[in-house]
Amino acid sequence: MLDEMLHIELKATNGAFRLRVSAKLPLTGVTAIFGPSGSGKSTFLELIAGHRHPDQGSVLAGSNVWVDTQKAVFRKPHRRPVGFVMQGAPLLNHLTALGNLEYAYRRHRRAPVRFGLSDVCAALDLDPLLTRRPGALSGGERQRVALGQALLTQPEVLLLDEPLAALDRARKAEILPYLQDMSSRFGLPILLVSHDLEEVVRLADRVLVLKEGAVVDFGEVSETLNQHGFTVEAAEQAGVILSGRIQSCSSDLMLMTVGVGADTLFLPLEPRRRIGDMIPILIQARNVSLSVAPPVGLSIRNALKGRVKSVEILRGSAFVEVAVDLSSAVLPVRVTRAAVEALAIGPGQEIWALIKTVSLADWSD
Amino acid sequence: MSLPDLSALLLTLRLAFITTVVLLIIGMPLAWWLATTRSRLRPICEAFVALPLVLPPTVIGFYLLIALNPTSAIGKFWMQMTGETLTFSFTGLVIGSVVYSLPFMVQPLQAAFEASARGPARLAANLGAHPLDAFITVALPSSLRGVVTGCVLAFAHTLGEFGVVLMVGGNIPDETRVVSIAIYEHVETLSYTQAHGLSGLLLLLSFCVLLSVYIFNRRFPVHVG
Repeated sequence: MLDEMLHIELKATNGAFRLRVSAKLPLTGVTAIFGPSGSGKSTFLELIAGHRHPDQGSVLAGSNVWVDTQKAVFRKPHRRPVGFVMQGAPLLNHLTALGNLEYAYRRHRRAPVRFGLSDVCAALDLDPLLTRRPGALSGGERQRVALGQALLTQPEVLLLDEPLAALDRARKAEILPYLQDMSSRFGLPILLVSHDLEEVVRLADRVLVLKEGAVVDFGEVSETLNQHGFTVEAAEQAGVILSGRIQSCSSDLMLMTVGVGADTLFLPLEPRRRIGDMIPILIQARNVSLSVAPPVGLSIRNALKGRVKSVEILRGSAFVEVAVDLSSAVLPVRVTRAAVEALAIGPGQEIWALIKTVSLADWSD
Repeated sequence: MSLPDLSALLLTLRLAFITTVVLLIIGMPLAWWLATTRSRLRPICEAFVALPLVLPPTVIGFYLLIALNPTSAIGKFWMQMTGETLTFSFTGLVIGSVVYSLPFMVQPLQAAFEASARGPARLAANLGAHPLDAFITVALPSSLRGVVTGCVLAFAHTLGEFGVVLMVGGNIPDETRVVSIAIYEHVETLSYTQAHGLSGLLLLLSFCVLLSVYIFNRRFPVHVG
């Protein structure tokens, strides 16, 4: 199925909500379906998995028809070659973790087996969990077992519905490496539904932006999200996604340097990354401070020199948004109005944007 | 307890047991269909299933009498097949009881299956399980509480049946004379001592049956999946 496309033409209604999606998604790497809650992401995934009938339209994986209302074709969920990890990673509660895995493995109809029981257990470190029941697993462990279960159905596409949403930061950090590895390690395309910008930046190769049941945009992650990601979400999500190339890695300091335009950023070392890799870096406006002079005697490693482009007062709040023109991009910065007045920050002024390295980490505080 | 009263009690228990088994066999597919169908017939079927909850038993009994008597199509067919009448027979009682207790079996089952269809049974389908496979291996185990509740309610409700039995079955010892009929007869003949004995027994029995449900539900709480 590699390099094939998922052709989607769907119209569906759910009460008063209407969904209209027309898209061609490459069946390779990770494609995120991004949008605020109520944008129709989960409905979309249910239509792909076969848990919902469209009013009209079709889903084709390459030349395989999953649903086509014109030809009256509807493949039931158990006959679609998808591994679907539903929101909250539900498991079969009357079986142990091993029972859950075997339940999926015994029912797959595809040969040859691409994902064997022992491979999956090794890849997701499931061996210590096998005898436990779902009730005795943590959120992150459930997610791993559910991922393993989905893989054992020998799917051609993996569907993940908000895989990190229910987890706290520590659990997110625990599950993230497995998710980041999943597509390349198993050569399996992934459709990932998420309302979390950070999650999409960390995991996806491309993103489909949904809003009120319609496709807003589809494309490469940083570009698409810089255009739509920050307007779709609530205002405190303001920020920018920079594309950077890894220049050096220091395993002593557990840091890597990333070139972004003419600037260099220090990021926590990510073990899977290599020198020369391009990575997206999400910088949120609230994680940046400003300095009118070159910073001295601060713990902050990342000081980017730029020029103030504009200062926008946010109505009814203590904060202003300062747009800083860097060599490579415009960085929004959220600081207090008091600070802007005290430092007399205004357009055209030379300024240093200070970014805490920890705010660029994989949730691993 | 007198011998006729003991016979009435055993007959009642036999009727309740057979009715529950028949209802379980009919009720499971019906409830699963109601829980999962997208058909427009669903509300009509649901209303039909719920009718015995609101209709006077005499009305149900009256229509059953019309439907099952030897001159009706069903009654005639049964007569030719077995040489017996459906009305005023134990078989007729079972049919009446099944109709009368139908909602008590179907409604708890449907509620349990609906929860399962949204959760565990949907997961089973994701994992490649055919609908019947998913029903047997996942929906049924995860709906155990609904199954037990349905069985106990149907059993207990049949124990207390009176109007339908009287209309369809009459009062034939060892054939259709159930406990509630026997009590009615004792009261009519002013045999209060016997009436006390049987009534107390039925009260205790019904209470114990219901108590067992609540204890079961406490011991096996529903797994939220």
